[in-house]
Amino acid sequence: MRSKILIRNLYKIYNEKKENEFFALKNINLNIKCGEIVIIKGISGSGKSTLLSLIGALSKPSSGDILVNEQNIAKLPDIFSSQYRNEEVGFIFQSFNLVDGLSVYDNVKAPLVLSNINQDELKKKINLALEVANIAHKSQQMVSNLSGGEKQRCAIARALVNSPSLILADEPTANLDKNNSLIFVDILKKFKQLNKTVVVATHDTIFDNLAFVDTYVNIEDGAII
Amino acid sequence: MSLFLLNDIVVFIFIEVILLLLLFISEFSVLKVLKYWDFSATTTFQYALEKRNYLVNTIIYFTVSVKIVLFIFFVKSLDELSLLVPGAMCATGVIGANSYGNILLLFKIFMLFLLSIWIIINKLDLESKVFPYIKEKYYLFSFIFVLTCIEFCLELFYFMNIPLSVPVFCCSTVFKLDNLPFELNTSGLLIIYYLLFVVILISSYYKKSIISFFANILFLFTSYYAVTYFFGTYIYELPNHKCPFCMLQKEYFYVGYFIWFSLFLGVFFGISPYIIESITLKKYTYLHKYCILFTTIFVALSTYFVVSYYLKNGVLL
Amino acid sequence: MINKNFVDFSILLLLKDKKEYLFSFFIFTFIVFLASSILFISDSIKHDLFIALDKQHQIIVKNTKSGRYTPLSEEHIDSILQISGVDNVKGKVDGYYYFAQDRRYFHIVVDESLDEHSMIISSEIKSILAKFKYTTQFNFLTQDGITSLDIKKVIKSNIISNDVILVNEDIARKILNMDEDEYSYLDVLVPNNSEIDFISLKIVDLYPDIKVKTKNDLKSDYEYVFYYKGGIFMILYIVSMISFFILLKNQISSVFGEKKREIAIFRSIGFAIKDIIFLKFIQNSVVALCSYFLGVFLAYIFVFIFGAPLLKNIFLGHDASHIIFTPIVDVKTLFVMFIFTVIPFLASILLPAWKIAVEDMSEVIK
Repeated sequence: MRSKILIRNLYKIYNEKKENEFFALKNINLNIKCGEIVIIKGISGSGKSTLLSLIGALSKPSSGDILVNEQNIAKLPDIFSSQYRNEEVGFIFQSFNLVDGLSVYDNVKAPLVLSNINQDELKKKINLALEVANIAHKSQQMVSNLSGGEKQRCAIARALVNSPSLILADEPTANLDKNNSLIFVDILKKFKQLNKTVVVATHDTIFDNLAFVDTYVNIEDGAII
Repeated sequence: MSLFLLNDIVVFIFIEVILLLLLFISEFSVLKVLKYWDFSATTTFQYALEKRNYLVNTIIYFTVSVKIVLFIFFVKSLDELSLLVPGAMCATGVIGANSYGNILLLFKIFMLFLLSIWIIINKLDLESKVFPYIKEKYYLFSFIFVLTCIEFCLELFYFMNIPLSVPVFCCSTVFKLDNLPFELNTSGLLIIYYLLFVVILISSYYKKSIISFFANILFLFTSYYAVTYFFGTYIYELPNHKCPFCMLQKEYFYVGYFIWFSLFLGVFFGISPYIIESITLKKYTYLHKYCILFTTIFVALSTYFVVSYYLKNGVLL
Repeated sequence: MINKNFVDFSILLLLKDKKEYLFSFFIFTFIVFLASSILFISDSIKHDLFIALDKQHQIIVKNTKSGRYTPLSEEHIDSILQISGVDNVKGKVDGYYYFAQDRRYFHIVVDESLDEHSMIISSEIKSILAKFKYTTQFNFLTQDGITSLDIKKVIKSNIISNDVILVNEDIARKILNMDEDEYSYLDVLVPNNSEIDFISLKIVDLYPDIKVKTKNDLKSDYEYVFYYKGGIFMILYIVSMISFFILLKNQISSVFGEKKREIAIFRSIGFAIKDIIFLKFIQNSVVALCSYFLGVFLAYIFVFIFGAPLLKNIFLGHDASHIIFTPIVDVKTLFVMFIFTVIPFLASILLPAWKIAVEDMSEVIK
């Protein structure tokens, strides 16, 4: 399914109407078309992660609308926003956010246990995601024993397992060396081929001037410039 | 202090206190929501209120499951108590041992009905994206909370006032022959019983909630008398044993539980569509088929004992 | 509906964190163990009492004089036999012998099958006698001198038989210093159960001093004492249990607290608040059920195989060391135990589970 994000007059304010009131995002307007790859650039603290978490319904905006597939996710009750995160969005976090003490396979399984699918289908989906992320050979390893690059590939497999149409990546290369960062750029290209809509928040220069990226957005002090 | 009479009673009261405590915690959240709820607001406070919704849900689900188990436990304990209370042969004597018993039993059934209706409205509320019935369901919750407190007091009064020296009446004296209301005789009762059954079937089939509502309420009372004064005698195979409780005992293969639960479930699914429709102002006919199912099981089960007795013995009692 | 994949996954996570749950597992097992031991003991005692009661006749008649029990005579038997509805009246000899050396009373009960030189004693009495070197026989000190009896057999001590010595009727009269026509109590046989109450009123009419107990009276008395004491015990137990549960709740809250980040991860990949609460509920139900079964199992071994040391003395006093408990496990007792322990346990995790589930999940993005 093709995805489209339309953001209108988006504000995120912390400690609203208090002394230490802080505008994390100010009047953001953004239109992301289906299958686009968008890189949001900005220094840390500029608000790009906040924007990403709002698009991913991890937190709720102070005002404004976020329309994904023409559905406003800004004020969705928890059950629906969770369903949205589960089925429509794949997250790739800076610190990978894998569950320690579980194997790669079980980590990738986690998003699938919410839907009542049979065992065969479950296995098929997990194995496919492991193949795409190129981590199938380590599927029975504990995630704590993996290297940084492998951890990220595991996280990518988990993001892909429910075949979401939207991929959100927050500083994906911050914990990787140069080599693995380049691999990630390749994976980004793969996403483009799979026709996923991808939003990457980063300050890494490795993403500069990539031919397959559709839009670069620069963000500073919570506003797009 | 007959509260300490039986371990079961102490355990029962203890669990009821825990449930009351949980409901009290959620009532606190409920009042907050009722006072400050504003769905259009985008404040952190409003989102915190939305989260409280899930606490209330969890507690209610837990309460209902426990209440159902406790209800069975309550009936079993009454049976046990009948060994201690002089004169009582089964739960009838114990329930009738003081003026609180029968009210308490009715109250308990009514509470289970209300809680189940709450769960259905809650489900409808959660299926929507804008919490359309949140105020209605929380007013209903507050009502349930007040009733639970009253129920708890009734329980305390009831257990504290079970007489241990004065003999109580048992079912043989409580349910005398001429005890039918409105001077009905048995055949009249049976005609009404089967007539109401047909009305329920038709009204449920055509999803006429309001007819089903009234027919089921009438059916509940008719069935109580029909089972106690007519069908029961065939279960016990004794013409003068008229008792709604003895059939819960092991001697009768616990058939009473099936009979009474199928009746209550059938009636519940029969009356709840109308109540839900009047709260949500929308058609809700999904439950009618369960009403048909359980009422049919109930009628078939009660009729079965009469038919099998007739086939075995060639005569009626 | 319950989703199998979800349940499997919850248990997988539980096994991963089993160390964190160990503490609550042990505490809860202990709670269940203690409660079921107590219920097992009381059920077993009750069972023995009622078995003994069942063997008795419908009406027991005792004589009193100025408020104390005195023997009955043949005359009493004759006049009670006159009452219509009475089938038979048996005079019984029964009483207590004071064994001064150990400051204990022995319960002397008649057994017609024994001869004049032998007796049957309980294992408790055997050990008392052994203390004073009576291993094969015992000398009763009576008004007429010493009566010496051989120990023929030793029976198990249960709640009824603990202090019992069975002897021949003539010997019993000798030991208890009773005349030929004296009886401790009368056993009245009434074939028709519905006449029992009426006949006992008649007997009291005949002799105002006489105390009449029907079998049902006795049963009610037993139950009353039993349940009443049991109930008070239960209250004490609840008080101590509440403190255990507070301990448990704190422990669970802190375990949940450590898992904040993990919960946030699950939330970010699509677990709703209700899913997290359900997940915690499943995990704790598994813990509770395992503890419950382990606790009940341990209690069974403790009470019925090891004879419940320590706890027994609380119930029965110090002279109970030889009492054994008849193994009785009633499904209803297990059900009561389940309600009494598992439901409060699960109730105590609802609030912490909700608290952790609604935590802000934006920390995953930092």
